[in-house]
Amino acid sequence: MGPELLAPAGNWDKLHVALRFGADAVYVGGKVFGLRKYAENFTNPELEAAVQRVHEASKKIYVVLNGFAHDSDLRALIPHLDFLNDIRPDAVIVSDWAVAERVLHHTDIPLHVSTQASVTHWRAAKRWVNLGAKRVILARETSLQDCQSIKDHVDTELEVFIHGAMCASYSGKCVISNYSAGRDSNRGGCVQSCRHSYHLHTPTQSDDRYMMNARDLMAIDWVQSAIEVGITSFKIEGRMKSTHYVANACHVYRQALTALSQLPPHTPLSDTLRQSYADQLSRVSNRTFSGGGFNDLRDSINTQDGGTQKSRQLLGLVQFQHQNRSLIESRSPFRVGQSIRVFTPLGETECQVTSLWDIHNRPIEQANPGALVWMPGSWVSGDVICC
Amino acid sequence: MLLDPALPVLTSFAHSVPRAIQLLRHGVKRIIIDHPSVGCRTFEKGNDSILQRYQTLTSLDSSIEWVANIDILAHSSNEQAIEHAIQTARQVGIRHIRVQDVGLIDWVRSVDPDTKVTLAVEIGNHSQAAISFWATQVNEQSVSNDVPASVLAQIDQPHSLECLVQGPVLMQWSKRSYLDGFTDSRVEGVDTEYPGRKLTFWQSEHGTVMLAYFHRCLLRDINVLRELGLGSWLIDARGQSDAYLEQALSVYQAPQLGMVDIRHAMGVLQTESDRPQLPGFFRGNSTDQERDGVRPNAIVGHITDSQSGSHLVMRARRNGDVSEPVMALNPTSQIKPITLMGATSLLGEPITQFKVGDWLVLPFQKGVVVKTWVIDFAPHPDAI
Repeated sequence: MGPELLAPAGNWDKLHVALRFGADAVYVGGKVFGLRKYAENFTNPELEAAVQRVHEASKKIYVVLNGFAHDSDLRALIPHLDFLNDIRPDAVIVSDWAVAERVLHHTDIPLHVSTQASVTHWRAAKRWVNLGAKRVILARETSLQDCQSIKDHVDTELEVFIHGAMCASYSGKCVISNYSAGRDSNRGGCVQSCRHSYHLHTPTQSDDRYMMNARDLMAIDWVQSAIEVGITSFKIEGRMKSTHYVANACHVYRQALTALSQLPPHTPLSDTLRQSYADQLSRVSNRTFSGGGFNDLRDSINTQDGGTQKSRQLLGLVQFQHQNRSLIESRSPFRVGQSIRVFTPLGETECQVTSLWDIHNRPIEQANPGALVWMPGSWVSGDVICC
Repeated sequence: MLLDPALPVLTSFAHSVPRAIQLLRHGVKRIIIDHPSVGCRTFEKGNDSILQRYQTLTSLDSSIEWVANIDILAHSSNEQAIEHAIQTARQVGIRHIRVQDVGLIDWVRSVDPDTKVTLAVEIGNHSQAAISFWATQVNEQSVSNDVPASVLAQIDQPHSLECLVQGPVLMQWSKRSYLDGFTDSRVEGVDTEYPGRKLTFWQSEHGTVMLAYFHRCLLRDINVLRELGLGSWLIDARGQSDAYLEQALSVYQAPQLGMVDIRHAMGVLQTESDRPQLPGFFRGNSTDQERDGVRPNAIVGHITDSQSGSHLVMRARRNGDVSEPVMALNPTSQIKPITLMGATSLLGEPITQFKVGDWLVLPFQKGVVVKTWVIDFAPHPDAI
């Protein structure tokens, strides 16, 4: 069996999309202590339904509890752990030893150590494993050499990020938001000050630059080596990213893992294939790419531009199909007559919007953001409409 | 200088003989030796070896407690440097090592089980529970700077805790190099979205650290600080002038702190550092506010579409029945009446019950807009 492809599921739709586009497992946050306060996150009934849904698909679901707890957080934690123990996710992800202790004491759910714990070396990994961790999610600064060393010394599952946004700092070693905006970087309040422009000066030099604006991670070129190291799980960052992002990243990395599994050992992907994957990944909003820790963080800061780039615009998500029509939840405006692309697990299909109807079946000319509209075509729930 | 015996151990950093002598002259009994090969923010490049530095400084006074600072995160690329530092500390008789990477705890003890270990994580011990956990793992802890005095006051064994009382505050540490192109390793800067806040960046072989626009200074809170009974007060004057350290040492170990001119001392510290002197989170920490403004367990659904005069669309966030009493909390936190009665499916079929993820088409109801929460009815707003 190959390594696990692990995708972010910031809400119910993204969970559905991740499964549809090839993820083996998803990670989700609850309303309690999930580090992404601005992601929609799952209510307890949603978490329960999500676990059931994922398990019905014979896939896995991990619940994040990866903030660094203050005492008020810990008071709310025990009832939440009791709830999680009842609904049985496949693991919980933690950073804080106090939280880990409580997970181990109050539940028998496997414990995964978050990247926020900044594990970069086998001795730290071993300490967590000795405590009871089943898996260690390595810091994004960890090199393949570090991974190999950890694998050689510690009998544990290892998980690495392969795609998505990166903290400029060691994750979990940053409190900029705490002091600049009164929000806790390590309890879901990060305001991403690292994306700002900074004016720098010494007595003899000055410069304005996006000094901490980390490029996104894209590890297509390193996946094969990571497989050979024995990495258990490949993780895609981005619970707050769009459904299109989740679909695209899952789609591309699923293709790559499948292609690699069909090649003889130590045989790299062809340049053509690698370029094709890179091109596909570049279509969706990104801050340009680097190999992150896999490439020793070389060229991993985009000092020139704090913005994002993309060649595809998300228009909506197919929610429902009925009698040769698809119900789209619109995210951006689109009109009758417009050329669009429908992105499915088989790839992109170009077509034209010939008609639109509102949910009362009245013809309309334009779909506005948030609206549910009918469109001709038997697309499947979770397919993505873009242009 | 006559020291107040009630004061905790005063602790500070030294990277050079002059700095160590300055500390010893003030009667400092615990000195942390910093070396750039194993310290993440030493503010100097240093041409001497770890052995030279450890030997030279510890030979200045064998009666005090010398501590080796090894606070970098371990990678396979720096294993040899860490191993060398641990072994060298043992060789020269240093029996106290300060670490940030939890993997180093057992590493240090594998070389010498009797060596004291201080865990100096920037983040990770900011609850009573975390501090209690670490108390079973290490000899001492330097508590995170976002732990307020109210939490420290409840710790059972405060004498094993160290608290930064004076000095720059680390805001982030990256393995990346931010300052390429600058000839100096130390660069001042401002976030252009927060102009006026002077930040300090320092780049070394271990990456780049960023220091806050103020210095943590607990002089105005000195009485609260004393009552906490902490084991150690840390004065971090790395990168600061001798005058800064001189002032800090004088004022924090004055025999009768109530008699010290705190305002004058803070003025000196501010002038020397060119930074405001503030208590940070020592007096309180309210950074953990919930953003949604709604109790998670009260959420029934959220409004995704609102077409004036026509319909609303709600996405269910739990299973339920349309007859349940609910209310709407709109994005401006106004409570509006709403009912789920009359709901239909997307195909226009009447609905009586719904489950997570279902779409409910509702009759239009005034004041209910997109991003409104639909929540359980509560008779009192406090229950929201």
